[in-house]
Amino acid sequence: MSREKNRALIHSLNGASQKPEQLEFVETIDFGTHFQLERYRLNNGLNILLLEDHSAPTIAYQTWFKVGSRHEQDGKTGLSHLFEHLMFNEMEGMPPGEFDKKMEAAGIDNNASTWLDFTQYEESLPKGDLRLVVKLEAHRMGKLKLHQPQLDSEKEVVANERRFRVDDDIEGTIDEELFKLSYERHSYRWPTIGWMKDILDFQVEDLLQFYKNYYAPNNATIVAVGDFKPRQILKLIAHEYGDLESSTPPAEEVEPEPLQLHERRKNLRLPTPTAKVVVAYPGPALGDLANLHLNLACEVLAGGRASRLYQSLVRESELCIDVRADVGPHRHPGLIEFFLSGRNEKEPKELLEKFDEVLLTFLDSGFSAEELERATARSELGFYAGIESSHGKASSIGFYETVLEQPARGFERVTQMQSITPSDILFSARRYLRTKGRNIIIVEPKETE
Amino acid sequence: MKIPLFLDLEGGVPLAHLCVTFADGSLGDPQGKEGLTRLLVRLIRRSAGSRSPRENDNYLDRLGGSLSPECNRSSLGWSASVIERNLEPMMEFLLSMVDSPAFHDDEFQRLVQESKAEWEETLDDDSALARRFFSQAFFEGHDYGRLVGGTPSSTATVTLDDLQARHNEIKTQLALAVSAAGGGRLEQMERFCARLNASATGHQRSLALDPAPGPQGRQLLFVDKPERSQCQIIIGTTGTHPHDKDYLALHVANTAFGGTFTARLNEEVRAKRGWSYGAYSHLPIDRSRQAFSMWTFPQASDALACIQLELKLLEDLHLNGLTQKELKRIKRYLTKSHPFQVDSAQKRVSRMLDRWFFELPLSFHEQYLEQVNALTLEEVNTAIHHRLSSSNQLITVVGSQNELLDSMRQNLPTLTQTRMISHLAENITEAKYLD
Repeated sequence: MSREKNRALIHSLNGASQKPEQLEFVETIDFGTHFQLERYRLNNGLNILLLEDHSAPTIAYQTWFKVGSRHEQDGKTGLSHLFEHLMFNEMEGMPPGEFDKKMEAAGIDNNASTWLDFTQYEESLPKGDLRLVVKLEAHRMGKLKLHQPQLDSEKEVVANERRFRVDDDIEGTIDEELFKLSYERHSYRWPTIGWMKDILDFQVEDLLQFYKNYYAPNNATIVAVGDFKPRQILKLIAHEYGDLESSTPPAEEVEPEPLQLHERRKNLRLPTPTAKVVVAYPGPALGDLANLHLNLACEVLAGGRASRLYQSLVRESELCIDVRADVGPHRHPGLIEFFLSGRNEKEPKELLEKFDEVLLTFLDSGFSAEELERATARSELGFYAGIESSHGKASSIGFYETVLEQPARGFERVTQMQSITPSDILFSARRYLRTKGRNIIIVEPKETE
Repeated sequence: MKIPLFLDLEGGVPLAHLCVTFADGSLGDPQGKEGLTRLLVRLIRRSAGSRSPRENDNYLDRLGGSLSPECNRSSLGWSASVIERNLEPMMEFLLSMVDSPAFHDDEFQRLVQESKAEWEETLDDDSALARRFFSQAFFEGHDYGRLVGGTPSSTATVTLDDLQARHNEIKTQLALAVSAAGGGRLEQMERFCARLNASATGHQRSLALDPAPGPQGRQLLFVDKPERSQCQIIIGTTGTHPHDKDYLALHVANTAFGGTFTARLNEEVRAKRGWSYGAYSHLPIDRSRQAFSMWTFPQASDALACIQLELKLLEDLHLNGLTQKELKRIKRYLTKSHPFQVDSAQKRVSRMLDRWFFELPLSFHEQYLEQVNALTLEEVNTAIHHRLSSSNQLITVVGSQNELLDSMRQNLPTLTQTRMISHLAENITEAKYLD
């Protein structure tokens, strides 16, 4: 839609309403070469991103809040995630369970997730049910009811989720230990699901304050992708969300992590048949160009079976059954993680020595243009595979908007990758992959029989 | 004979998907050599065009492509995704896999060792352990009880000659299909099929398979794994098959009972009691009847009560069926959510492939909604009563034995058999009878 058409649309929508000017058209943003995103804003601060895609009679509707476990405090960890669960519970005029029943009756698939920097709620709906979804989402943003019995029951559910994902899960345990080891001050040091004691200690008052602080239109972004007309959806949004009051979220008190000058190690004995080693380096934030460089470095090192670490640790030396690498996609500096899953009776020491050998060769001698071509193509494939569906597009838009305020950043990263040189990557890799400032978790199998 | 070609080339993203699927799978493994077919499809992926695995991996990565070997009980093949501009080279790669795989002994030995190491990796995954032991015990004595990937012992008996013989058996089959979604052109796909067709000159594999008997009486299989704070629980009884006349009725019943977040099972286990993060029932399909099963994972101290509740819910379902209100709700849900069954080219093509694979009538998908909405409460409840059993069940629990097993034996009603097995065991025959 052209800018003029957008203004005309907004004018007609605002004119149709009995209320003061509610909607503002903000901008049009290219989302790849086929699609365009339109940004609007309600006068209470609600941010709206729309992408029309008429390839299927469905819509992905998502609500992203700028609150995650990063915004929590010691002793109150896991609050964002527990709150996410309670958002499906009781609302004004709707008893517990009614929200999901209404959604399911309309054939709507809904879910939610919480991570370090965000909490998001999502619906995949048939095109005819937009009114219901907008109404229900607006309702729970403003009219949630919080009572102790529901909180107690949901704390049990979350405690069970924690047992499932962390306490009885080797990788979940390692991940939690890694972040605890790697961050001393920053709030990324606790797990999003929270410590068990904190989960069980929450009271209704904690949740009420959290709701008031963070669940307001000016702290949220609505993303809709699919088969709708902008006029139709904007009218609904203005009507349902227009009366919600904005809030003043508390100023963040997150402390930056001090520069890490020494290696930290933690040894664990866990009931697992093989050794595991995780090596993590303090890395750049998602918005930093070095984050993209290091993503490509990780592809060269551990992306797929032609990668250096796979070839060396899995195929040649047969020390590992799997190797993986990942750069944290977070607003604040995250971790560059290498996960080595040992094989048979191999000792963690052998895994770490071989890993260091491969990494040092990479840092000393660089890599070929062919390896970069491979890394870039793999990243491109991964991105496109992630945005094939309306749900995937909405998730990419919501994620980059909430973390970086750049909804099309995913596409931009793909474009940017094409002009990155081996020297760029090597420079960032040498800057961040420093032996002295890294964190290592070593897992040795505990005899279980 | 023309190879069936299933196409839907609509896509808004520059990606193409292409699958070559044979109607043959791990059920074709000789007794004692379980895992053979899976080793074969993986070896072919690595050695396509007689190149080295590294050359192949490097080449595919540079195309912006991924190519996964797929082996199930009744099907095998390779599934490719690629950035659309590189579809032609990906097709050539797939053809080179089918036409000229190499059988190098060193790569084969490496693959066997990797499979063994992967087996060890799965010992960390409690839900995968529960599924594996449930399957082995539920279908004990039947081909479905043999694992697709085999065990370290069975894969150790497989030789390179076995692989070549199995390859000869598969490569000449007529029972193969090509499916493509999201990108490419019709002529391109037809050329691809014509070239594949040249080597398919042999026999058509029969899809017939004896039905599995399923458990007799109420059986408990306790899989002992130390230091568990939770239990993984799967409770199952014999399910259905898409050729059963009451398949659709049972599919509707399962969705209402445990197929959604607000279904009866999740409502009772999670919403009312907070016992398990999830509680769902499943009704998978294959060439012969599979199991209908319920899956929960409560804290160890809630495990017994959770099983008792699930058994009661199943008994109640068997006895009283769904209510009219539940049926109405689930019909509406299935109708309204139907667009999500067909909202991408890949999903649409996958349905076509299923129809071919299970030899289903056109109406199976075309008239799905009409048939679901025509079902009466009596038809659904008769199907539940006829197909599901409230007395013949297998209860599989992965947990720590010292805390739980005795109380389960004492308190679970009408157990006819109790067995215990270590989570490290390969075969169900290693289970100890405790009766």
